[in-house]
Amino acid sequence: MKLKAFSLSLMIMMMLFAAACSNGGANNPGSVNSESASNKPADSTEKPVELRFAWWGSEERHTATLEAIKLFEAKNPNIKILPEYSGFDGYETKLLAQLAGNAAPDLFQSTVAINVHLGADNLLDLEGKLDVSGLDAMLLKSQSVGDKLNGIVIGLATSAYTYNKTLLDELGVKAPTPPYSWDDLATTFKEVAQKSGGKVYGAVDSSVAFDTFVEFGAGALGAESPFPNSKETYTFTEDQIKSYYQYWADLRKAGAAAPPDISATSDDSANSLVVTRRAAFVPIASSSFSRFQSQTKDELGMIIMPQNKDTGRSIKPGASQVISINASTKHADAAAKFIDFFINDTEAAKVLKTSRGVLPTQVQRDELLKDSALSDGDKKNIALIGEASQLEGLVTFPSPPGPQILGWKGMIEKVGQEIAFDKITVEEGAVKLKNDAYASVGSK
Amino acid sequence: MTMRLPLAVLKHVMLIALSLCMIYPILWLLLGSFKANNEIFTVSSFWPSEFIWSNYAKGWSAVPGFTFANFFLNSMMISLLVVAGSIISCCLVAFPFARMTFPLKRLWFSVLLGTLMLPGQVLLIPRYVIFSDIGWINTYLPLVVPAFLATNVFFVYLMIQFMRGIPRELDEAAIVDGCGPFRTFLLILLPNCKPVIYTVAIFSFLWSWDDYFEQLLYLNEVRKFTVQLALQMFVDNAAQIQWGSLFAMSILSILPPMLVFFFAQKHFVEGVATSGIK
Amino acid sequence: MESIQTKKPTTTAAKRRFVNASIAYIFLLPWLIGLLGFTMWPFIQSFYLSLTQSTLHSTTFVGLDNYLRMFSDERFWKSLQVTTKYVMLSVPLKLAMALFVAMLLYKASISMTFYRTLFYLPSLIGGSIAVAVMWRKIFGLDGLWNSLLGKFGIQGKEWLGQPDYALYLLVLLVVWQFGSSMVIFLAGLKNVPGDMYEAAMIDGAGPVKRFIKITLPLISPIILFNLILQTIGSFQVFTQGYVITKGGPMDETLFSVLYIYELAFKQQQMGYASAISWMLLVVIAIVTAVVFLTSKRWVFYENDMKGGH
Repeated sequence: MKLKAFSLSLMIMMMLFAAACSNGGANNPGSVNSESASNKPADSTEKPVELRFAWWGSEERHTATLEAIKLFEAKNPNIKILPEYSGFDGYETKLLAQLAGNAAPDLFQSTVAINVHLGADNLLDLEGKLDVSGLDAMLLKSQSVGDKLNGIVIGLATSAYTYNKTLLDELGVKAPTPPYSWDDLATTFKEVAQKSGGKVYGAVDSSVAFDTFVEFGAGALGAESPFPNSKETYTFTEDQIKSYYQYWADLRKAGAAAPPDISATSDDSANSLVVTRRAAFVPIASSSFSRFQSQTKDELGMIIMPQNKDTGRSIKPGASQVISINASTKHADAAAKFIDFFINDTEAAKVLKTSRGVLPTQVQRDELLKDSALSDGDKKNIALIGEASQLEGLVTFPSPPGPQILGWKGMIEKVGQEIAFDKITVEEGAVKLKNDAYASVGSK
Repeated sequence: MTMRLPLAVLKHVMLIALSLCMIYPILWLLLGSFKANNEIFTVSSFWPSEFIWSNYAKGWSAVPGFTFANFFLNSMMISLLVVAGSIISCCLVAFPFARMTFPLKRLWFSVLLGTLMLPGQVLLIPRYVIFSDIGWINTYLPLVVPAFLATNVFFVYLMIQFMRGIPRELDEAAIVDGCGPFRTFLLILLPNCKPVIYTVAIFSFLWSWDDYFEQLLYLNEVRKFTVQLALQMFVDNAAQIQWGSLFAMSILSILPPMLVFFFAQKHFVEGVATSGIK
Repeated sequence: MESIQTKKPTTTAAKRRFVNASIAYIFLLPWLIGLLGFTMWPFIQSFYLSLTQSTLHSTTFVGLDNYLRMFSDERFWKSLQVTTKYVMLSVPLKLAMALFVAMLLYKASISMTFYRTLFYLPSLIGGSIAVAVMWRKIFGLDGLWNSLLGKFGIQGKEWLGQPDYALYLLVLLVVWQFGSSMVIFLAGLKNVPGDMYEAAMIDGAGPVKRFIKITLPLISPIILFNLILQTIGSFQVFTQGYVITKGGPMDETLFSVLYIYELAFKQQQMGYASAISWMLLVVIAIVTAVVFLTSKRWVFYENDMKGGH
């Protein structure tokens, strides 16, 4: 009896398995193997070209992008876009695996950092492939390595400080009005600590954050690049590193910046100190303002980053995301056409809105501003980018020089934490970071 | 085994206290699934100020173009196949290790355990390349077929360890009766392995249900996505996170493995005194 | 197949051994196919990569450089230290907890069914994003833990941000998720024959004595199993550090595999990452071998038990 029952269940399982196999097989040719389908020589029997396009994002971005794809397909009936959208976690790892396995999508959303990871060899040179006249020249250049254009900006963002306006009002502190300097900012932070009786910190301690390092370096210090390109051209001097860490050490001492244990657990969302009311100011990417606002009943505000006191030097708003084309795509022209649509088409602007930060070209921005249904957060973001783009003394920094620099963020964070937790002094930290920088470019 | 009354009371007090510690975080998650987004992290009250049921409806359709029903079905299909595959293959492979002598047994056993010891992270890309070469990307095959080939060594070892606990007199008797290894396996070992088979079922279901990284790597089309992949889509590095809906779907996502556990458990705990090996 | 088995007196011992071995290999076939098809090649490749300096598009053979580099890499040593500490704390705690609860719950009754499911619940949510935010919230400044401490007049802290405490909270998290080990113990306890207890009860043995004299030896193979698997698994701990602490603060939760992942996928140092992986394999293999060697002293299989009686 038992034997029979067992063999029966065994058979059922085998059948299930067989079903799964054939099922997978059936799914296969229709969808996955767009490559093999398109591998056939271009006998141009009006067969639509299929392009795989991968991006990460949230519900809002997915909906907007899917709509934009529909629009594009209506205008280009011979091109079909196969969307592959997901969350952000693991996106980059997956791209790396796909490139290694020769199964990467034709088009993918990316960032400067991701593109450095993927390597220039895997990215198609976009120079001359599409109309980029609407893009800011500096922005365009920020995606180039040498003469090669690796990606096209599809959304703008800038570093900014968000603050809890309700909290500041309660304390009777006013946020600085731009243009302002890093010293002005420190004064405000200290005022918050003072007026709250030490209950609220002025800001999260962002000495560990690469972005703050870059902004402070460009603004307060006038450094030329955040990256050690080589021993000879490394532009952050030991003194400059020292004054960066010292700035934060002084703030911590005055209770104006949160102590390291609290700063370490502040994250980009729910646990952010500006949401939990532990601190009044937190540096963010302007594009994520709505996300912060959605998590608290307090009113939040946002200001651009400080500038250099004398020269007004600060970082120009940059790319929140780019689109790049897989170097081994079979349909480079169709793919370029899609990007062209993404950045230049005014109807695309109407559906894409601010789902990827602020739209990259003026024609698109103008079209969007006619839309009255924009949220307050979106308007704030657009206004801020506008304001930040009008400043004098704007600079952009070059892309990281190569993969060996990829540990750089970690180094800045590590030294920052060691100083904040009082394991080493500011002087020792400056020497250490400089040596680490040399080591990262010096040794092959 | 009868227990004296005070001891029984003590036991229950202890269990209830422990349950509270165990369950508190889950309750927090459950209640969070009814809270407004701007309330979950800022208001420290445990109870929602207002129950927002729409978190569930919104979460259910949070992935444009699909509902979670689609993802639940996909996950369910994968997990059930993995369960079937793991049970069949692991029973088979465990048997000779537990009961037979054959050349290179020790070596194979070391290899078996050895494959558990290298961190999977460095194997991700080489394995992806293999599956890509045989055209299995964007299908469920890379997630399911390995289960049928006993790639989850954990279960094999679990089976071995259990089979070794079954008295040898039983198979000796079977052999005297003229049973070969196959029939000994089917008639003696398997029926006695019922508790461990259910254990393997519970684990293989849960693990394939909870797996995220493999599913992420091998599935491209959203239509084929699983519950875990869909959950991850709530979290973007810049956009708003709908925590309430995320919690709601997280709560729903633990229901299937919970049900599997609930119904499977009686098979490995029923009446200790009466079972055992007869 | 089985007709081969019908023994004739003329069958030589050698032939029978051969037949038996063939049958054994037939049983092993699925695993061998999986091993050759999906496991072996990635292993070989990762070992080769460990001897190279490798990015996505270029691979240079560098011999043992990666292995030598470990000796002077402080983060490597830090990660090994963190991982070892984690293993030594979490494995015994989790197993003790799981065995203790399993002992309480192995009787069949409605209330026990309820408790068992309850205790298994935390293991169901694994290492998801929801768990990460929840853990941060509970041990955050105005979380549950601090308000409990406040009742005893103890000043609260941001526990996950403390270099001295963060690791312990991750240990606590996995101990909280003791469900899988509990299930395995439960299944093991079921195989303890009831008649042995009855015999012991007649001898007048109390519950503690019964536990030590009967239950422990009988489930010792299961304890060994849990110990081996938890040890291997804990050395490869990744998810908790990845979703909750990102290895911080101050690398105090930088588990080895987290470091490997960072090197492989964030810093494009696949070669070095592979080398550390193989080093970790050696460490795990040594620890496992030691556990196996000592197990001869404390693990009893059914056959030995019966023989001993």
